[in-house]
Amino acid sequence: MPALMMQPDLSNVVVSGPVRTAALTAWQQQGWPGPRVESWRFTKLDRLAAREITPASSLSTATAGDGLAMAAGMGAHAIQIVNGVIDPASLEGLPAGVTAGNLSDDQGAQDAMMALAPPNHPVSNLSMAVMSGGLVLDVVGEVARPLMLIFEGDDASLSAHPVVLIRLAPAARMVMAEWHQSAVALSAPLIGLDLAAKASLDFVKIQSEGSTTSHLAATGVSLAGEARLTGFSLSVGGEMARLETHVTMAGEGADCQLSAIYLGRGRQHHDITTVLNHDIGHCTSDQVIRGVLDDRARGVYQGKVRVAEDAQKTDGQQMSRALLLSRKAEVDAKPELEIYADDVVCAHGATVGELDATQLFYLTSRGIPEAKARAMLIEAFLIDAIDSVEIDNLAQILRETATRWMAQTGLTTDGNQHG
Amino acid sequence: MTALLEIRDLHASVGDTPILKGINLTLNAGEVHAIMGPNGSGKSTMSYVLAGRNGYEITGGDVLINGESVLELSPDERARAGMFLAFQYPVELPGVGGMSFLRAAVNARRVEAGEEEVDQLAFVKMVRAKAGELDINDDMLKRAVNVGFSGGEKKRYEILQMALLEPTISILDETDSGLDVDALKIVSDGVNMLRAPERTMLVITHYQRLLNHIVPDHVHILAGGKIRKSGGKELALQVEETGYAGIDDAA
Amino acid sequence: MAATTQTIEQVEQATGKYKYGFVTEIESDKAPKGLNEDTIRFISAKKDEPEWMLEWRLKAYARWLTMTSPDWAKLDIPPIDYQDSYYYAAPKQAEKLASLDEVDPELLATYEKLGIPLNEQKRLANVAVDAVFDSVSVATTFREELSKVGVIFCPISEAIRDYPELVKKYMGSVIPVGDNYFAALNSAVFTDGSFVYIPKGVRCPMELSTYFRINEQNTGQFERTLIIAEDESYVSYLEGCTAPQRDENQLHAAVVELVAMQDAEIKYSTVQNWYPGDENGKGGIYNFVTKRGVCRGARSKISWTQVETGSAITWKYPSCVLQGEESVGEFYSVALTNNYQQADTGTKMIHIGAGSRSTIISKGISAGKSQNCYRGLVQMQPTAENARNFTQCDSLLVGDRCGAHTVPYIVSRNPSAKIEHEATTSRISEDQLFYCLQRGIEEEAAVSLIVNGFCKEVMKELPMEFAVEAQKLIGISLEGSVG
Ligand SMILES: Nc1ncnc2c1ncn2[C@@H]1O[C@H](COP(=O)(O)OP(=O)(O)O)[C@@H](O)[C@H]1O
Ligand SMILES: [Mg+2]
Repeated sequence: MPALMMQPDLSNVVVSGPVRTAALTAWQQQGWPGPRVESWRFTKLDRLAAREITPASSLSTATAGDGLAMAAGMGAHAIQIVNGVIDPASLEGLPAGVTAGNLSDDQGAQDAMMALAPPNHPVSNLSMAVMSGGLVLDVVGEVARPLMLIFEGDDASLSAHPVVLIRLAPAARMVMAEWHQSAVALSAPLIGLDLAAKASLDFVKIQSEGSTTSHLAATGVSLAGEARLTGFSLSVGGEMARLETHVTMAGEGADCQLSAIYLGRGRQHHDITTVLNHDIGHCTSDQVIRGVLDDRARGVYQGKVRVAEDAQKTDGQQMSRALLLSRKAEVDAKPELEIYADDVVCAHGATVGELDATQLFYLTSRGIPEAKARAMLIEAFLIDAIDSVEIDNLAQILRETATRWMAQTGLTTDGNQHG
Repeated sequence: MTALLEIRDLHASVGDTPILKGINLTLNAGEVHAIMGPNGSGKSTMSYVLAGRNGYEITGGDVLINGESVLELSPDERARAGMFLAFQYPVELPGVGGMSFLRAAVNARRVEAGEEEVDQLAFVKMVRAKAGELDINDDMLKRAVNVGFSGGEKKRYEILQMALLEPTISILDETDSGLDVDALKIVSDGVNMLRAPERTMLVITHYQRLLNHIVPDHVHILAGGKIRKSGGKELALQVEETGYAGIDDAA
Repeated sequence: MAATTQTIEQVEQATGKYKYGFVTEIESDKAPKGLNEDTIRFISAKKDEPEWMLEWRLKAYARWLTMTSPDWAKLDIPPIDYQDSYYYAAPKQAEKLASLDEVDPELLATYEKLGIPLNEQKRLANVAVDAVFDSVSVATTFREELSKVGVIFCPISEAIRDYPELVKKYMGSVIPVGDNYFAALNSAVFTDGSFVYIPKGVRCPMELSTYFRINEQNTGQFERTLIIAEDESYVSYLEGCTAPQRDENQLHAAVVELVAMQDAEIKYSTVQNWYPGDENGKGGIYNFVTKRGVCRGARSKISWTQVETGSAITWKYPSCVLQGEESVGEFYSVALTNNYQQADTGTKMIHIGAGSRSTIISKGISAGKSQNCYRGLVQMQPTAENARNFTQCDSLLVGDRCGAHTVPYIVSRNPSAKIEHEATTSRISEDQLFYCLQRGIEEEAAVSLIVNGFCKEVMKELPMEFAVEAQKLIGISLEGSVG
């Protein structure tokens, strides 16, 4: 274990029950990934240096961020998770069809969570062991109102380890969002999404953490027969962020659409990592990734599509594109196909480059100022990923977020050139 | 005399869906038969089943070439037994050079017949001669099989293969579709050249106009997976006038 | 002579498919088994090497001892006992050969059998051949003709003695001794290989080629090739390789370094047909090879073409370091695995120079129970203004018990550089297969036709003399995978 890596101070943490104890042991054995671990080759944690961080354990007061307003805008019920601890008050009045339970003393749910969680993953192990807050949401039927999990908190000495397991009963339908806007040192949510047959989930995640927060998320998904997940992630905040999602296609006819956008500037580091396990045949997955990087920012996309033996008739697609706006920015991509069945259609594509000079010229030749032309082209570049979000008001919110980001980068409509 | 091709009460399904529901046809040497029928009536399915394509379940009946059942034969064995299918939608073979493909097909027959393989130079000459008649230029011959060919070019290329392979039983599946008047003439001439007393042809078409060029001895109407009516070439004209609905009623 | 012919026939009858699986009965001179400093001194002495070369080797050996075998590839490599192998084996023959007439007839017969006749009457008209048998070069043809235009084509052991300045300057300059485990091993124990030097402005008048043959049992082959193309020169070089059919695994760890100066072009083609093991995965060569070229000068070009059908395990990434402005790197690859073969192969394109361009076309075919992985890196460094890369990786699966994997790494640090990568994986189309069958072509031949079509973009990059052979090889290598 490299000496400089931040090590959470576990001295005050009480770990109970066999699942969490096992997770703690695994964490203590493995710790943060070392320099030679292949899946972390583009995202090194050592630049976070030695920070004193302590896993949060008790509820502090909520800070008002954009999240609540967003939830209100979407007509969503907001569950607030403050410094990693679930605010029990926000579990009152859940939409019909959603029941909340406590994960921290539910062994069965913990087991189920670990079965979903990305295996041998530092966040899976650490957050399960430490678990600043644990929540199980069971969903039946068609949930009329969206649900939003708002992760907030302003204590920069803390690390947040919320663990949330969401189980959709057969044919259940729900729309939900994760909104991350904390200022903790380390935000390490472990999320499980377990969709039973024919269940359907629209899922949006917005990572808009504070500028000194490290966001390391581990999400595990399982889709039973004919279940459907449409997921979208936007990574725009934080000092460094890794959004890692593992999906297992566990029943025939399952369909998984994932899209993600990362927008980086300054010295931000964004990492989108996905593993799509086609364990069974006749399933489809499609991923669309877009990244825009300015200044000295670095963007990483690692996406693996794995098709197991006998998982015939699999359709797995992946397309990642990145735009570099600055000479100091860097993008790394590793789209990967690992295929053990023959009757499949799998493909991936990746491109990296800058804005198309011809298109830019075309727009400016029509009298559009260059900065605006750039903004327009970037917006166009992001649009098919954003448009995959079919949730009321949310696509609009995302578009506004992107526009705001561009404005902060100097790409405004006022005609100023971007340095 | 045994028929060159005999189809006896042929039933075939895809998955659980029956498509051919008892087809009977006898093709004697020297005869040209036309099969007409509405879209989706099972014409292509029948041609694939005769040629032995995977994915169809034969649920009843038999197919005989020269009196011998061929249901147990693989598609290439049936082809070498003299059966040729001109595809409705010829498939592209990227990277597979036309000449080497044609030569492989010709040589496969020769080897089976215990003959010498044709040498490259003689073969090129042979192909060029036939290609000229079908208005197929050298450039098309140099390209990969069917890659970048127009619809009409693909059809002419099918007939070129037929001319080279000299099959005793030719099945042409909508070879006329997508052809303009000139191309239709070229293709028909090519087909007519292959008419011979020792051969038979099954010409599948949706329209009567091809039959003005390739005049059939018999015409059959296929609808709903069954032959509804058989007759002489005048039956085709009747279809042209009344459509298939009228024929079906009559059946 | 009679004994050889007999052996050849016997083996052919017994084995059928791998037609190069025979053994030549010839007495040979070996180093004591095992790897240590003495082995290295033995090799160096056998080669009559200058002291500096021995020191270089010993340093490499010391470095190797501190290293570990790479484990990141998608390969299942059984542990290798480096002490249980011979590192030098050479046919016993007259010390120095004045002409081909003096080459042991057994050897001439062997090469003839391999399709590489060496003697004056029969040799290929426009291909100069360096024939490497186990650890030594046994003959090099057309040397005089080549030297007339100033081209040096000789065994590397000779170059070390005759052109020490060139060797000192370039050997290890592209692939440093400690580059990786197998390169370090090679640097310590390399035995023979070819050396090519093309002077400024010279277009090499014929194809140069090296034919590697492993014959001895329990012997590794560690050849080293160095090609230097001075300004405005051109050379096309081809290597072929085969080995006897044996139940044991044998190690082949080669190093190939290419240097292309301004406006120079090197075209390097490989038809790799080492013994792949039998249909149960027994035996076969471990092919762990480091190949790298550097485009030093502006507008220089290095093009790698490989057809990989042999070896039990292949670990190989022929790469280009594109230093020169507007330099060009190309990688065209067909990798075919069948039975229990494993291949992890691909390339690295490191773009440094402004306007540098690279193209990667990779066609992987997996059959039987084999695993086939493309692994490639495209890196745009901050200086690579307006650089371009295009990559196309296609994988074809023949049968449902094999694996096809694609692992590209893309790193860009220059906004004006453009990278495009596409990859697909599928099986042979049923429609295509049926079309061929309907024309009377048998299934195995039809699959071979379609697979060759799939590989066409790569095959057309091979020198004509070898394209036909390579095409046949694909058909042969697929045997038994259908039905
Ligand atoms: N592979 C298949 N799977 C399912 N249905 C099929 C398949 N092939 C053909 N069919 C169905 O069989 C019927 C006959 O098709 P086809 O033989 O192509 O008709 P035609 O050639 O007369 O237009 C159609 O209803 C078609 O949809
Ligand atoms: Mg049809």
